[in-house]
Amino acid sequence: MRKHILPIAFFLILAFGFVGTLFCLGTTFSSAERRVLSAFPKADAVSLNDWTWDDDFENYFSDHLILRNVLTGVSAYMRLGTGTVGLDEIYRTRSGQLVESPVRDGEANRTVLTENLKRLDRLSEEEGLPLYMVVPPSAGYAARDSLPAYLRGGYRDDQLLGEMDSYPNLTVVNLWDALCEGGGDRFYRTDNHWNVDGAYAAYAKLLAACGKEAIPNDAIAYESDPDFHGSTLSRSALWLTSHEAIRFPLPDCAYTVQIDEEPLRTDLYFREALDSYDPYNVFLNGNHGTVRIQNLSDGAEGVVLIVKDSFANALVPLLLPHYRTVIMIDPRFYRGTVRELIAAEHVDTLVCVCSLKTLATDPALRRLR
Amino acid sequence: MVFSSISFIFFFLPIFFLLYYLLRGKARVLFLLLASLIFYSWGELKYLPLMLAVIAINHVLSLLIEKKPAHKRLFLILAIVFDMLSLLFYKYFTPFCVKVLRLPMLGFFPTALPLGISFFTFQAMSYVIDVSRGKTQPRKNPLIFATYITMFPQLIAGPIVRYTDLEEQILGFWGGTRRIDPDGVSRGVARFLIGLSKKVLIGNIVAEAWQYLSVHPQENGILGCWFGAFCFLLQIYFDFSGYSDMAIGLGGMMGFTFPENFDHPYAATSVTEFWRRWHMSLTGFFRDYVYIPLGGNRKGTARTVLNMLIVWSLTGLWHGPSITFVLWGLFAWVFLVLERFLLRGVIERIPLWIKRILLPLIFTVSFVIFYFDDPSELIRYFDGMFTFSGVWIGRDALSVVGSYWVWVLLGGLCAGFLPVRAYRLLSKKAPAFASALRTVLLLVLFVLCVAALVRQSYNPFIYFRF
Repeated sequence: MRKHILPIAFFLILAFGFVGTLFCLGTTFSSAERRVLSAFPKADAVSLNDWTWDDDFENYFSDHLILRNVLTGVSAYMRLGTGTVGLDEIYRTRSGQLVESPVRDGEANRTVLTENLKRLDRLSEEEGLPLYMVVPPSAGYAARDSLPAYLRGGYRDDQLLGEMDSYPNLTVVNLWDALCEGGGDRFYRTDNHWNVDGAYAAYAKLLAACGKEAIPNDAIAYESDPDFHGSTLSRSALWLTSHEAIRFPLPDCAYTVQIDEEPLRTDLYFREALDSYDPYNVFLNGNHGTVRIQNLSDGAEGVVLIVKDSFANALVPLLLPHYRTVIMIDPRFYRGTVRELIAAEHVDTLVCVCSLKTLATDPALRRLR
Repeated sequence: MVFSSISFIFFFLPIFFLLYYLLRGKARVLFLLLASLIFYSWGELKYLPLMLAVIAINHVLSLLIEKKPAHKRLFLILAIVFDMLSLLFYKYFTPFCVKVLRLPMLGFFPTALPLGISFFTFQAMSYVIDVSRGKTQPRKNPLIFATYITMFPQLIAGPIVRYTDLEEQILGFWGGTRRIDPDGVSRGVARFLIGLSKKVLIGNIVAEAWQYLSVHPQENGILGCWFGAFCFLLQIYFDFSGYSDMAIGLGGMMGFTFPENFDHPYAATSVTEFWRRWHMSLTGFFRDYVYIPLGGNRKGTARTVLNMLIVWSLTGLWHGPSITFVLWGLFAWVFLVLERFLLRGVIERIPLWIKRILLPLIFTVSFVIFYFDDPSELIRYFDGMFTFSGVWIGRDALSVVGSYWVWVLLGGLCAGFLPVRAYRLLSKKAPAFASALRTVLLLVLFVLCVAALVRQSYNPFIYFRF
């Protein structure tokens, strides 16, 4: 009997995997991995003959495999334990921070970056408005000293972002020292975004560049939640990583928020998101084509248009008291004409708040008209 | 469907083994045939008629060979021509027309290679040749031959099992006289898990490093290029021998015994010995059906060298219509000729530790030739390996080395005899403990494999290309 333990265990595992997975087939979304699970593939003459159906079925079955989250965790820790710190492009630093792998300094990314910067430069020139570039280095770059030596060199954020200096109409807000001091402390441990300290540092630098005075940090009211877990944790599958606190500023002014065509709101925050699979959506419920925030306080002046990615969502609450209107457009979703928007809203300041990753890998900015 | 996939392990296998173990006699064999046809059709339904045609034509011609011995040569030639044309058309026709004749791609040109065509056409040919030589009797029942050709464990990437290896076993199940041996099942499970671990836990992981380093060799630096090449050396062994282990293991679970395909080739102390240990079923096929009929070594040194040249050119070409495959075959031929005729005395005097250093380097260069389809890419990679570009190791290559060196080391250790010898030693001293440890270790490896498969996106078998 003892010598047959292996085959018995093997066939029991097969049976458990098969039957257990049948019970999991109804699941459509993985909150741990923050993604929609593959659906049962449709069969047609093409997919049955070019391996597509086979691939799709494998994804479908694998996505619904019983104990999938446990298994992805086992795999992630196995790789971590053998020194393969980068899994699904997430590195874990010595202090336990989960950071994205570097944006590659290659020809393809250089091309996208150049095109995007040219587009922004032209926008500033043609509109005759200053355009402030608020582009944070990546969390990995900031925390690179906590990574193994062989990974540090891959972060070339300074080289890539140095290209911004060659565009005469772009005013680069220098965030290097402010965001890199503390070796990654100004970013979340479990997310790729800056935390409130990072956002405040960027806010202070931007206002200084605009000739305005920032509100002292200790004069700003904050709300917090202790159970934040971000996207780098989801992507890494290092499930044993502890969650962290998230703080968000409460602007000291009355305001209204218009997100795309949705009804008007009086709150920047979607607190229900804190209990969801993507707590970062507490800021404006994620990314949208257009967000228009109207400061209702007396004396607020100026209209700022922010061309942005998700980094801006945490910055805008700090900027709001300084402007009468803050308009955010996300080129990935915005389908309007920027020039018409600038004219219609009497925009007097342009700001680009985008990560290096967006600038160097996402060609969406080229769509700005 | 590949063996190292979640859908194969947790969907196909449970259903297959439940029914296979429940059925007996003819029903079991018929079910095996049906399951094999489903397995083959899973990704490319359109090639099922081709496989059925290969089975039907070779079956009929083998019967005719027996029935009309006066014309057996004609029927044999017809069978070989049909099998070779099938292979040539799907494997070589398009590249020949487009690359060599510079013709435009026409609608009827095949754009993809039917899975396993290099294997099942060779098996069909070996069957007809064996019938014509009187080594085996053709069965009137086409299902026996069909079951042999389609048997899914070995269908796609070998081992190239000969009909004579399987005939009695299939007939045993067909007639109800053969039983599935529980010990064989136990050994089969162990072998399957070893193969799965080789493929998933080493082959696939070092493949990631090779994927990074093979693209821009000029940026790797000389050390980065060599590290990448070592990764591929390990990848191809663990990938291919892992597949063979899984095939043999599945055969064992089903009550069949398949021939071995690998025997620790990287532990060889000569190139000649390497080829006795690597892809043994293919080298055996060429030996028995090409080399020996050409005269082997019985017609003098010059003829032997020529015969070896023919065999190794064909071995290269069997892998694909690329000049680099031919170069790879010729590279092996040069070393085999050197070892056998020119440097025999010298090689015997070389200390073992020097051979242990030199041979892996030769194997590494050999498999780099094998990897690249495009000669210009091969030259570019060789340039990286053999020319100092001012940097010993590039920045990105360093991060790859730092991330994967543990797996390369592990692969290097597992490629030799170390694990086998360690287990044998432990079995002698504490057999019960060794057995329990093995069971636990294999189950842990199984869980790790499944965990890795759930996340791995890179998972093809290299020999599926052939």
